[in-house]
Amino acid sequence: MAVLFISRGTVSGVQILINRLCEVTGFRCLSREDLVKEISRHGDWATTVVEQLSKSTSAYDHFSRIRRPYIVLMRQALLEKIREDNVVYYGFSGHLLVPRLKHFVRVRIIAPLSLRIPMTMERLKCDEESAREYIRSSDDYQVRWARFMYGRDIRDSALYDLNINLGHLSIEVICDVLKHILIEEDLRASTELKAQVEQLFLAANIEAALVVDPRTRELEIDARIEDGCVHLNGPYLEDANLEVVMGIARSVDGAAKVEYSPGYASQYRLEEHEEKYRSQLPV
Amino acid sequence: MAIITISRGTFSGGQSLAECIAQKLGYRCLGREVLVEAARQYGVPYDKLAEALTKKPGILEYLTKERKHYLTCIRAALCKEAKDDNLVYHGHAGHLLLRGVPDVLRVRVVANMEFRIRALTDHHNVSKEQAVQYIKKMDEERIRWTRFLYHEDWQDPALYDVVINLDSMNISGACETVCHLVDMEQFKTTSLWRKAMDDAVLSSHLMALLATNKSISGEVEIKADGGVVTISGTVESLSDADRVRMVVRNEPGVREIDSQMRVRLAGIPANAIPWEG
Repeated sequence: MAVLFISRGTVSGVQILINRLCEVTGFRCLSREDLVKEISRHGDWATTVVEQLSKSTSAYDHFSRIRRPYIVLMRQALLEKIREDNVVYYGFSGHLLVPRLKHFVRVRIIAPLSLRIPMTMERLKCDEESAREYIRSSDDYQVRWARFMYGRDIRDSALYDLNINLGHLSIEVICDVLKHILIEEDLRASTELKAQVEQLFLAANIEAALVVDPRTRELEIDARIEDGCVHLNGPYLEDANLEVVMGIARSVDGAAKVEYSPGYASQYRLEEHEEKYRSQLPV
Repeated sequence: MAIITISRGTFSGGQSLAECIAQKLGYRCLGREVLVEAARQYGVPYDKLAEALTKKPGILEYLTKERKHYLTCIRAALCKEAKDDNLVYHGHAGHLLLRGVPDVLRVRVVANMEFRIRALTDHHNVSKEQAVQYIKKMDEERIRWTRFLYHEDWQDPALYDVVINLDSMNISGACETVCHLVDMEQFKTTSLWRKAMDDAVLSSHLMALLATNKSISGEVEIKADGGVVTISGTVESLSDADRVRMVVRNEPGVREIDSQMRVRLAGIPANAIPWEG
């Protein structure tokens, strides 16, 4: 069927909605923490990258070297988990890690302060003023974090298929609408869409293998799959380095034919996929 | 049974969505027709109403109340239309004009620039550059309009219950989603809703009558609760307060008046002197 990406602000009461949605649809709930666990299998370095970027609240430039490894590792972990579909993912802007595909439904849940403040007061055992300040600073952090990481403003409604306001619509109503959307015939992953996810997963596996290996970590090599062939793009490499890169790429399951071309593709290829996605839309 | 407002940018597919929803649910679909009705009911020129609803405010406009008065008339006409329930309104600022009206489903549609350019160039003989320029100008006017009159950001998704991206969902899918939403228990008409709607219709109608009455100087607010009308705000003189009460008292549906007006210069309650009218 589909993959639902849920984005929300701090303390929005969305967890109840997610649990209920998974209950009524039978979808699996997948959180960012699940991805972090998945990434830990790459070793301490990968865990450190994720932890460092998750906890950093300032001095972003200091962490910029690990920005790309973070994206590559998170994307690979996410694709691994959503290959089988029927997943509700909630986490730090997970929908920005993957390109737009027809069965990826991106929803932002907005909750008014009148709902969020009492919940924050209860959770943090604090007064109204502190709760308001906590929400403001956490939202601000999320916006800055996503802008740094993906170059997008997560408040932009155009980044989602649906924005839903918890202020007026009850959890039951929202749940019902999302369920209705998810089981729509149109959103079922076709064989072609599943093949696209598999290609993305293979590319993500190769990029992750190159990022995890200390010899190629700094090279920033992009992978894409076309007609069964793995195309790698990156800096100009000396023969010895090229051999290492090709060796790592070929060692990944499913990467039979690999080609390397110096030069960079568009940033993480999301724009490229965006173009392709739009060209497939009905006129 | 519901009232649905559709907000959108120029050529974003909002009208098509509104028509689809109205057809599927058997609702009435209104846009600019509300302006015609407002002009007829309150004797205001249609052009002035249309301008008040769409044109961005001028530099000195904050000094006058004219535009707010026109919007009061539009709100009153829209509330009357909404009273009969089962309405899809796709004119500008429905979600703001119907503020205070209970259980309105506020929908916004967004579409990417290519979609909008295509929609514009398909229907009008304009180049792509002209289309981009026109769309940007209209968006900017709406942003300024909303900020000026309601102090809100027109694009803020928090102003709506649902924002649908037509970039990823086609009109029929969006239509299906909205129809499914209004079918929920939350949007069923109740006696409480009827009462709240009657109150909104009466108060907005009285506000429009006062706004278009040139013999009254002042800024008053009206609240209605089951025929009990509370008048607050400031008037220029005691005779203005008398005239306000006269207008209110003569309207059908008003059972009782609670006058809390103040006279601007004196700062005294306008009902300090017993009203004989």
